[in-house]
Amino acid sequence: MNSSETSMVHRFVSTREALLLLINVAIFAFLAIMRPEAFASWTNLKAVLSLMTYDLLLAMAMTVVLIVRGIDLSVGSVLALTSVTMALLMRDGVPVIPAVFAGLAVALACGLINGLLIAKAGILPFLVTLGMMSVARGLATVLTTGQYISFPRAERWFTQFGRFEFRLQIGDSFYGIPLPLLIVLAVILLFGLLLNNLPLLSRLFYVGESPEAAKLSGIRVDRHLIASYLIAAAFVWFAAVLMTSATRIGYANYGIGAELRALAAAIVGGASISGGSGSIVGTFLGVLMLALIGNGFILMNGNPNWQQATVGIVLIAAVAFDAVRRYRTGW
Amino acid sequence: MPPIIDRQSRAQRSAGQKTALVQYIGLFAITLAILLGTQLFFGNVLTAANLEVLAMNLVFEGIMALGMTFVVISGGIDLSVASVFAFAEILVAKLMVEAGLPVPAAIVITLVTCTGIGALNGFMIVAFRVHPIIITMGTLLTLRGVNLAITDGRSISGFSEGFVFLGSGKVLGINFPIVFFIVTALVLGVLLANHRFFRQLYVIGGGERPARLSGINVNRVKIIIYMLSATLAGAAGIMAAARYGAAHWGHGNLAELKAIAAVAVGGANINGGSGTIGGTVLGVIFLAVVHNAFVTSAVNTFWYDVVSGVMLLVAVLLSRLTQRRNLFAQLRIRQAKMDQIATSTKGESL
Repeated sequence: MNSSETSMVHRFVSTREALLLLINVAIFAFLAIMRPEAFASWTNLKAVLSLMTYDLLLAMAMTVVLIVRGIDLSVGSVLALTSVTMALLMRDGVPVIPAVFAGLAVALACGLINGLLIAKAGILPFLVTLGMMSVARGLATVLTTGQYISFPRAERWFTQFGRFEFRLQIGDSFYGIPLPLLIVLAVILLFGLLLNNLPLLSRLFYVGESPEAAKLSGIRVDRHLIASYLIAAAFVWFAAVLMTSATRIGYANYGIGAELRALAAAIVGGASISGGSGSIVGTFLGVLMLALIGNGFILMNGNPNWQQATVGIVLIAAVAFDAVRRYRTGW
Repeated sequence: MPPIIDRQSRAQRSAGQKTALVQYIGLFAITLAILLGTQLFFGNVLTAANLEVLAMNLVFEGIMALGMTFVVISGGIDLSVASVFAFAEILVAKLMVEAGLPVPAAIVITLVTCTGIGALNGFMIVAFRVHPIIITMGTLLTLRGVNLAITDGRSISGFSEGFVFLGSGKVLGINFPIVFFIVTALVLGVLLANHRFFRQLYVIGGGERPARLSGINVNRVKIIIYMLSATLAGAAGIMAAARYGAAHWGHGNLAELKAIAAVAVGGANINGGSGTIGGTVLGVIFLAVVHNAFVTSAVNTFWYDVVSGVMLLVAVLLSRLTQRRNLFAQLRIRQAKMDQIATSTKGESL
């Protein structure tokens, strides 16, 4: 191995993503060794991955706004409001496609209000999205009076789409691969590539790093802020469509507490509340890590009630790790 | 040597106080209007029984909001109060019911533990140098998980008569938690307005570097503030356990957001540097009155979330607008001074 190769390997290993990958592999290996039948079965892994899809999309939404020095506490509530809107329309006989687009319109409207209040009125993102969190959850509850909304009249493909699985045969055994997971992975991959290569999106990093400098160099900061909240809303809408389709129900209590999980995953993945950083791969690995730890807790016969505490502990550990690294590099 | 603070120009300070006063009067007027409006349309609002319900409804969030005010002035935020609240409920219940400790001992141990949690929050915020949102969210999630796990989701009950007094007993005809809220608000309000230690918070909230340079021990002050916030949340939790007659991990869920909303509605700048206990108390009363209006008007209470969210946004938007106008006024004064200096120096050079 020549020196340039070693330095490349070294650079890769020292990145946050590599570290997260290693931790994920370690957790995976630990669980696979300790609970070979329960953990390493395809049924279990599929359950972990399927549950992850929604958190993944919400964490992506959070990452985008964190990059521009924002925060979006309303992701869980907007998810519920969007889901409820679509379910109500489909229950009343609106065809699937218009209903789904109406859901998109609702999600984007929430994102637009967030973005306008933050960019134009200059209110802190924390407060704006806190208000939106309350408003969206309240509206969803008002619309449904807290009931489950099922939509038996909707076309069948919509209710089957969320649970569709490709059957993959390897040797004698069949593996079902959930279609939503594949779509979400493809969307995230595409978005990750665009974020780093499309100038329109990569400018978001400049805006987050230093809004003043971005403004001086001719970037329209307001528009980029609003755009990032709209992108976040689109991710939330997508999660709502998948969730509504898979559960066949619209419900006002969807996504309670999801905003904190999404935020934790994004921060673990390298995003910072002070803006300018965040990576799609990192966030993905952060979500995976939280999902694996949660699953592991249940499989190790731990009290499943501790699962919630692990999210907080992982978050604090990640932040502490960053602090130690900063002190060592003398920043 | 005592740090030099409060040396803003007198004019600037009085201008700031004037805008704050306008805000408080406005908030008070709106609150009064809502109260009278509901009384006029639905009746039975201004009765002793309803006023008690109204006050008890938000008193625990109100006590948390008092601590939150200090945190917000220093430029921080404490999301963990709601989980500390529930933790205090559970701890005090476990100590009394399961460990059989006498009431005072259980209360002291619980309060000290909560103070310790606050110290941990403050220490991590200072040591890791990350935004308090992240640290206190970590504490919130962790502690809520702990609350759930140590109770297995069940509630604990079976308190002694003496303990129940802390929740529903009356002092001079007023419920004990309300008396606690009023006394604490008075004491903390006077301290915040006058005591040197608490005046430092405004300097820290205005900018940590200048505060450090002017000789304030920023880290120490911050840790103490988070200890205060957690202790108040703990005290609220103990009284809530007595009030409800049971401790449950789900109690106080989202109370942190109500506390923050009360502080924000009360005119504090969430970026730090401004805010008063009086404003927070007005904010708490406002939220309580709005909630009560929903209950008495028998409008679907589901609307409450929607309206309180909108109220929060409107309040922040309004305070933002008044701040901006104040800023313009200051800029104009500065411009006038500069012109004056420019003309005077020109005169000299000629």
